[in-house]
Amino acid sequence: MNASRKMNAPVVIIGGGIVGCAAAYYLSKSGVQVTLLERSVLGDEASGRNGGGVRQQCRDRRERGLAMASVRLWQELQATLEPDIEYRQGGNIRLATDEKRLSDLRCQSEEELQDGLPVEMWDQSELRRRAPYLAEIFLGAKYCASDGMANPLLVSRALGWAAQRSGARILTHTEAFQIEIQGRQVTSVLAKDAQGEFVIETPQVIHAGGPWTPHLSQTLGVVVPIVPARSSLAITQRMPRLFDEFVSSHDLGVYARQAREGQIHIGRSVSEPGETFDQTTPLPTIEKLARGAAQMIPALRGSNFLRTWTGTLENTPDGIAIISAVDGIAGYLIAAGFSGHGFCLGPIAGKLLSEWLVEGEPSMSLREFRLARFQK
Amino acid sequence: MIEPVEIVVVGAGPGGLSAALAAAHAGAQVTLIDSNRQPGGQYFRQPANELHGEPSRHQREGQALWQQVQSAGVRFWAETTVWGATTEKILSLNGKDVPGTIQAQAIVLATGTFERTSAFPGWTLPGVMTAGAAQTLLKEQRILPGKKILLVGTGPLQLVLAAELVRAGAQVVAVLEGAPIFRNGARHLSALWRQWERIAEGANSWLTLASHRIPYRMGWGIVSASGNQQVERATIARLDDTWRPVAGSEEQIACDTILLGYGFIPFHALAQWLGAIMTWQPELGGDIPVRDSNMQTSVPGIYAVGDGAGVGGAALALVEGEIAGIAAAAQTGHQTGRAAQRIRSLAPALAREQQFQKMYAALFTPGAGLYALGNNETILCRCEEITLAQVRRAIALGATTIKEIKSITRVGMGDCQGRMCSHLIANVIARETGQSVNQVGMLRPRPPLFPTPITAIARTPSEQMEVAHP
Amino acid sequence: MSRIEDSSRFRRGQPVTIVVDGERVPAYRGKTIAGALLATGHRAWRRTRHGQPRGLFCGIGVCFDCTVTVNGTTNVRACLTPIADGMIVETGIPMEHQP
Repeated sequence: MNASRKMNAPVVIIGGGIVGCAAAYYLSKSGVQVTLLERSVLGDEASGRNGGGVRQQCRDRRERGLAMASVRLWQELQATLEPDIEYRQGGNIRLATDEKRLSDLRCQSEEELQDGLPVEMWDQSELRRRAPYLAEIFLGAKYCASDGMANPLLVSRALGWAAQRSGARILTHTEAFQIEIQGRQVTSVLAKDAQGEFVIETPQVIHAGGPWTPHLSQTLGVVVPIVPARSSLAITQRMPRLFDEFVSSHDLGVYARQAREGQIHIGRSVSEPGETFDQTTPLPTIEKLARGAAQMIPALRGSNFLRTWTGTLENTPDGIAIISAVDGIAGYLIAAGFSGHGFCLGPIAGKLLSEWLVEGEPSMSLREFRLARFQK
Repeated sequence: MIEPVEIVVVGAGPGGLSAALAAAHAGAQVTLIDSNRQPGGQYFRQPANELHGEPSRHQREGQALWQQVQSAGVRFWAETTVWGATTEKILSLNGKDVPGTIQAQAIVLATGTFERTSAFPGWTLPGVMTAGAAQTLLKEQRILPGKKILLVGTGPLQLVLAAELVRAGAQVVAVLEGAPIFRNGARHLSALWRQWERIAEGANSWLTLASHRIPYRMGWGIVSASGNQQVERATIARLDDTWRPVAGSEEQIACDTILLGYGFIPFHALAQWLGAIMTWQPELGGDIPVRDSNMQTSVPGIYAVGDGAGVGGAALALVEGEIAGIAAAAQTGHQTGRAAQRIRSLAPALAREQQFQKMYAALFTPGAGLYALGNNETILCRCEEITLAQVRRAIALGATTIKEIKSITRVGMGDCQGRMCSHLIANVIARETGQSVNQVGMLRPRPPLFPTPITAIARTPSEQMEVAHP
Repeated sequence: MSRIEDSSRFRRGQPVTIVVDGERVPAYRGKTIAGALLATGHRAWRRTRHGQPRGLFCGIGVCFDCTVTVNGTTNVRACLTPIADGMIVETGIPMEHQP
C-alpha cells in the first residue's frame, strides 16, 4: 500500500449508479463533503441500461410509498438538473390479454387507490379509445397517469455532476476493493485507480454497488443476498410520434416507450432466468423483443431495430431493495438489491440516505428494507 | 431452428472469394454471404446485371474468380446481411430465402472496410461524398458523381479513380494528396519490388491525368466546402507534416463534387462479437483482430482476412483469403496433411504483399490535422446532427469518455450506428482532454449490425404477428 | 447528372418509370434509386430534422444519409435499392419531429 496516497472523507459512497449519485447529490446539497467511488463512469451499469420507466403502479405494497415520494423528487429534478434528464409524466399502461390478468390488475387497483395512488381500470373499449396504437388482443388495462419515464443515460450523470459542482469529490475509474473496520466502526475504504491503490479514511460508507455489492460487503463479513440477472433492451430507428405512455404486457413479456427523440425502446417485462454477469445480448432474446414488440404495437411491424444492449439486474430473494444499516457495524449503510426498481426509486433512496446521515434518521420508514429480514 | 453449416465466409470481395475457393477446392462445403446484390466487393465491383457492356480489367478478373468459385460448388447467399453473432459461431441472417440462424464449424470474416472521413466545414453538403461512392457509381451504375470534381485524400487509389473519372468524361479540377510522399517515399522504394502491376496502373493513371493537365498536388488538403444547398466551391490549403493547413496558403476551387479518399476503417464488429481479441493499429485502419499465420483470430475456427482485418489492398486479401480457406478446410477435416505445406508455399507472396502494406501505411496514414478542421458549428455526427460545440459542451459538463459524450450529445446513436463518426469523435475527445485516441476508445458495436426489420429479427412475417400469446 | 452508359461501350437496361415525390422520373433497370436520382440531376433528396439537404454520401449502405421512403417503407437506403417500374419514392421527412 502506498501510504503517500491517503485522503479523508466524512462520507464515502461506493457506486456511481443512480442511487449513489442521488445520495451524493442530496448530501452535497446539505453541505456534506462526500467522496464517490465509481469503478467505471457514472451511470454505466443498470442505471444507464434500463427501460427508463418511472412507475408507481403495480409495485409491491412495501415500496409503493417510496415510489410515490420518488415521483415528487423526479419532478423537482427535471426542473433543476443539467443536462435535461427528459423526465415526463406520460402515464403507464399495464395490459391484460386474459381475464385472470385483468382481475389481478383490478384487485391491485383497489389497494393502490386505498394507498392514495390514483389509477384507472380501462375496459377493452376504453383501451381502444385511449391507446389506439395497441394491438386488439388486449382485454383491458390499468392506467396510472402520474407515472412516466426519463432518459437513463442522463440521470445518474446529471446527479453526479451536480453533486460535483456542490463540492462532492467524484472519482470515476476508481474501484473500492476493501472496507476496513476497527472494533465495530468503519474506518477506511481501500480503492485503486490508474495510479494504483490508496486509502480513504472515513467513518461512514454508503454502499450502493448494485449486483457487485455482495463481493465487497464480504470484506466486512457481511452477506448480502443479491444475485445478478440479465436484462436486455432494443431500440428502433426514429418513428413518428406514436404514444406518450410507458406500456407493458406481462403476457407478451415486453414493455415499450417512445423516447423524446422518437425512437421506441423495447424491453423484457419478465426476468430472464439464470444468474449471470454476462452482458452480451442473447440472439434469442433479441428475437423475443422483436416478436413481442410487433405483437403489442402493430405499427412496429414496419420498423427496424437499430441497437440492443444488456444490463445486469440486482435481484433479492423477495424482489425489493435493501436500504439498511448492518447490525454490529457502525458507519455502514447498504442501498442495493433494487431488483429492477432502482431507476424509479433512486432519487428517494438517495434522499433518505442523506437524511439518515444528516438528521440521524430518514423521514420515511425503511423498516421493510432491512437486511436483517433475510437473516431469520 | 439453427441450420448447421460447415464453413461460412462473410463477404464476397477478393479475400472472401479467395477463401471460399481455397476451402471448396480442399473439399469443404462452403457458404458465401454478401450483403450486395453481386459478388466482388468494392475492388471487383461489377456493373449492375442489367447494364451490359465491356467490363474493366478488375471486373474481368473478378468475373474469372467468381466463375471458379461457382464451379467449385460454393453456395452463395446474396443480399444477405449478418446482423448478429455469438461466440458459439452462431450467425443471425437477414436475407431472402436464407435461414434466420446458422451455426458454422469455421467462419472466415472478409467483411472489408468503410471509408474514413474528415469533418470539415461544409462536409455534409450534397456533392461531398466518399471516393467509394463515386467508384460505385462509376463501376456499377455507369454514372458520374458530378461535373466538376475535386478529389481530396491520400493514396494511389485517388489517382486511379481520378483517371477513371477523366476517361469517363468528367472534369477533374484537381487531385489533392495529403501526404508529403516525396519527403517520405524514398526509403520505402524496396517495397515496390515486384509490384509491376501496381506501378503500371499508377503510371497509366498518372499519364491520363497529365495528358488532361489535371493538377496533382502533394501535401495539399481540403479546408472547407461551401455552397447554397450543395457544393459550389472548396477551400484548399497546403498541409504541414501533421496535416494541419498552413495559414495563408488557402486557395479557392470551384467544383460541384468533392470526393473524400482518406483511407479505410476495418469493419470489425463481427470479429468482436465472435469473441476475437482486438488490437488497436491506427496505421492499418484502427481496431483489428489479432491473428496467427493461418489468419486465425484468437478464437479457434474464426479467421479474418483482407482489409477488414487490417487495410492492405486486394492483392494481400487474395493471399490471406487463400491461406484462411486452406486452414479452415483443414480444421473441418479436409486435406489436413497438405495444409501446412500449401500455406508455407504462399509465404513469399504474403511477405511481398505485407511489405507493400507497410509502405502504404507509412506513406498514406493521415495525420492528426485531418481531425482538426472543424469549427464549433461543424457537424461531427451526420445522423444526429451533433456539432463540435455540443461535444465541447459535454466535455465541459464533466464527460471525458466516448460513452459519456455519446449519452449526453447523442453522437453515434443514429442510423449509421456510429460508423461514420466514431473515429471523428474519438479524435476530438483525445485532443480536447489530452488523451490518446486508443485511451478514448471507439463506440462498441451492438447488434444488429445494421438497422434490421423487426419482422426479419422475429423471423415472423407481419401477417403472422396476430397471435395473442407468445 | 451525366450518364456515361450513353457511350457505345454500354447498353442501358430496360427503361422504367419511378415516381419521386409525385414526379415521374424516367430511369433504366439496373440503377439504384440513388443512381436514378443522380442521373436525372437530383443531388439532394433528403432533408434532415433540422432542414439540411442531404444526398449520396458513402454510397455503399453504411452512412444512411441517402434514405428515402419506398412504397411506404421508411428508412430505405437509396444507394443500395434497385429501382422497379412504378416504384413510389418519397424523399420528405418520414415524420415531422417535434422535440
